Amino acid sequence: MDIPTVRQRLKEIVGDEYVLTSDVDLMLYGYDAYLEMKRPDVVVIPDGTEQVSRVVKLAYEAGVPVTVRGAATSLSGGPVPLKGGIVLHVSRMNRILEIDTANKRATVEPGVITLDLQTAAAKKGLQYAPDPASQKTSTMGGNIGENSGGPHCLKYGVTTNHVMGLKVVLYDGTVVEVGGKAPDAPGYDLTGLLVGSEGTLGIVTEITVRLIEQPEAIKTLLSIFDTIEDASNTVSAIIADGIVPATLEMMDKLVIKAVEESVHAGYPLDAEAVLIIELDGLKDGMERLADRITEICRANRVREVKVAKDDAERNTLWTGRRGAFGAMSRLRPSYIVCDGTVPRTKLPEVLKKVTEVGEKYNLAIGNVFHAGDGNLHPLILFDVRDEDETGRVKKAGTEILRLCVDAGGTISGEHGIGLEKLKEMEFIFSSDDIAAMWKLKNAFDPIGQLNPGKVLPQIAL
Amino acid sequence: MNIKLLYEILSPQTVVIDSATLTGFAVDGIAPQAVIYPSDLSQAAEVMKLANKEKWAVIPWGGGTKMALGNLPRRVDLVMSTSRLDKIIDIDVANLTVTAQAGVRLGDLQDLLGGTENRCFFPLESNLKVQADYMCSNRDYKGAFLPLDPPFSDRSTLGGIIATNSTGPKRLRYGLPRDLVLGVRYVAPTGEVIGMGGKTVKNVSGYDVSKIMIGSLGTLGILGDITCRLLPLPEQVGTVLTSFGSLPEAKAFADRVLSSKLLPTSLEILNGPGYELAQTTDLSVPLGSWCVAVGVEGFSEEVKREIADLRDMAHHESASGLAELDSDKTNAFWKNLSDCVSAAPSKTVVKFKGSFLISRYAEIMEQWTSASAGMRCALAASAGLGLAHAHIFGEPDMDLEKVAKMGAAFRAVTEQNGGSMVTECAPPGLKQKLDPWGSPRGDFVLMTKIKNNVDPLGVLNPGRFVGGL
Repeated sequence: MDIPTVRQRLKEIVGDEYVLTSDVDLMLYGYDAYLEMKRPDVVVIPDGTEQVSRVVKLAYEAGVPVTVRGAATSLSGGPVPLKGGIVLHVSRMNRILEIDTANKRATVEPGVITLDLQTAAAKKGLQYAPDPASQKTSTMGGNIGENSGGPHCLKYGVTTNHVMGLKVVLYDGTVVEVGGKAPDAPGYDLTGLLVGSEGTLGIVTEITVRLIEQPEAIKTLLSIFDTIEDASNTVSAIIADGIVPATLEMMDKLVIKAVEESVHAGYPLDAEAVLIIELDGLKDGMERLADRITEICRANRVREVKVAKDDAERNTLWTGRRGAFGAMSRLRPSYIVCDGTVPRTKLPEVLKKVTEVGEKYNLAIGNVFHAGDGNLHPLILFDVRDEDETGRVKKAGTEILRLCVDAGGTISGEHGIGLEKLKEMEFIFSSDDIAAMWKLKNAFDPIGQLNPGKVLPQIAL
Repeated sequence: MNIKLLYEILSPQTVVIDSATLTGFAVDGIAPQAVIYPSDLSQAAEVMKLANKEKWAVIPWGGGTKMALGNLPRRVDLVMSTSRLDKIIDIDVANLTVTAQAGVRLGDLQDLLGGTENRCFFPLESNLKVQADYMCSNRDYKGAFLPLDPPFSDRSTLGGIIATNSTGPKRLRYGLPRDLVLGVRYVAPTGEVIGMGGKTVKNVSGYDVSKIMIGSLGTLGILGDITCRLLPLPEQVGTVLTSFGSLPEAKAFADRVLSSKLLPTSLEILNGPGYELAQTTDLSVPLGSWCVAVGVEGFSEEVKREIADLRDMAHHESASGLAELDSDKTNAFWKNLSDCVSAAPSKTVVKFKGSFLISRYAEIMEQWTSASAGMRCALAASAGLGLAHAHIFGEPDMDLEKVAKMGAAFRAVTEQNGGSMVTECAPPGLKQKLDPWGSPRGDFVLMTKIKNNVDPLGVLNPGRFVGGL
């Protein structure tokens, strides 16, 4: 089937206005928050499982790949249609289908913005715990695809720990339901395998998540340090002391400066690092815990520990953290984020080496990250139009991931492999490991119909 | 079966063929032709390659506490015991992770983790290599634990717990294996040693393969090394036991607790025989009445507040009885409840597990009670989790026809309430009358494809899993 025919048939399924083919549209739907770009042949915006199924079935018959796309805040190239074909955009499927307070579950369509679900759950006194920094823009479908994290995942776990069931369209248009509102469906945990599979195993059209009670009390502390080493030692000292806070976030000097210029969160400009430490749970005992944390900070030469006095102060602290990537992008035209993760005790030595990598390649690197999880986010600033600089950035990025792996960590904590880290997969996996993943891919999608060229490097099977 | 082929891989004393041993390792009454004890994953891998060549059916065996779970096996040739895979590879106390081999018993691991002396550990430098020399933690270690409390924690192994997705009452607060397992290294059915995940708490590098290994009953691989996250030991633990004259009253109390800001570790609703399993006399739960047991753990202020609130709530809901357990009694109570059947070794035991919408536990308890009328049936519902267990202890000549009918009625009730029912323990005769897993669902096609791609000759645990996988 040629492309004009595919476009025509798609219009018959979803209606003319939801099939985009202009040059501008094809360009706009060809990239995400990573660096690569590839134009699809057509963009389709279906509404509902049935339309998605018909679109995928058509693509299957036509031999055209399908790449699913949410808000495209992905930092690893996940939504880029590497082999062209169809980009399937989920923006019209943005309904919260049910908030079932009695059973503490919510069922949503993949185009629902993460924050919208959180707000809707909060209105019923419940919460959806995963809170990726991009929650104002990112979609639930994208969160499923990437198994997104966020600051509060230190205590509450990442997206996959909250997903109970999925409705999925397979490569040939078949619709399958996995998991459900009840726990422990007999059989393999296909839900667990689908979460984080970056749209390569199936296209999710309904998502059932669990909701939890909101905490009774929250206490947020800002600890200000004169060296980054003291700050990172504090992180592992808190965990080693038997305290698992709700969040343990770190920002370094470059990021603090950028954030202050952009959102005025009240961080001190001359500090080398700050930690945002949040406790939540019952109010009883929280005071003692906060005192203990302050003590640990002091033992690690903290300059000052500030406690947010009210919700407004707390929100300001978080606005700074959540706006950090955006603030950094004001400094230079482009940035990439290395999502390497290390056992948290290795933070001090790895952060030091990251600085050395920046010096070696003459690049500005800011650090804003989930320190409690050991999940680094070195942000490398550059100008993508400068070929030499871009080349150095890619080399530095690979080197940073290598040193995370050498420290017992891994190449992605929450941003995914996408097309960015295909070659780095061999840092952590043997060819047998990758072959084992291919066997799973082939069980779901034997012809490579869905989001081809992502997650798994090609190997001889 | 040519046993001699095994001697090229294993030393003679780790290939056992005497009939007494073989009978002890029978699966649903079918004895294997040999029991083998590999000492490392590469030996296990070699055995799997041989099994593929010879088309032997291989049954992985941990502590043996869950061997009554599953369909009757299609074939049993070789039992592979993990009892020599019993090394703890890495306890990273400051990082709150542990890596241990599948044959390590949970109780032994908890004892080791719960100590407070600074300890030495073998740092696992990466997924691909295990460093040989050990180093010592220089931090004050306050003790940690793996927050899993499955049945028979003394005997059950880490590998068995993960392979059967076995959980206990504390799942309410701490989650289940899928929330705690960070990485696995396993032997694929075709004999490769595969490593997935790692020791970081966040990891989205490649597919999350650990997830489908959890609860797959050894049909996709033999678990070797398992990395889990730990939690610091709680400062204090406690339990409030309450009794109520009727199920609706018990439910009113449980719902009140679950919709409060309290964070109980466990909350179980037990009928009279269910309460007896805990072997405690702290509270009287007369026939026909119900016990609600609430466990709390955490910092001392939290525990104090929670116990006070629970007492108030119980008063408010007119509890007929109320008792508070100190920390020693608390640990014994929950362990007995989890281990329940160990007290009656001579009995024939049938155990059903239902899962359903979390708001429906009282309907389930009510209808299971009427479906089991005339039979002594211990019931426990994990309110807040959507899970319930039923235990029937019978004599060896138990009327299986009657139990099968009851099981079918139980299953119908759970399915009406959005869930499913699994027979966790049953004599082979019952499995012929009642499918242990229930009918496969729409996603079974995908499960079959996965199994076929991963284990094309069907050598690992053939027939025992859902739908005869």
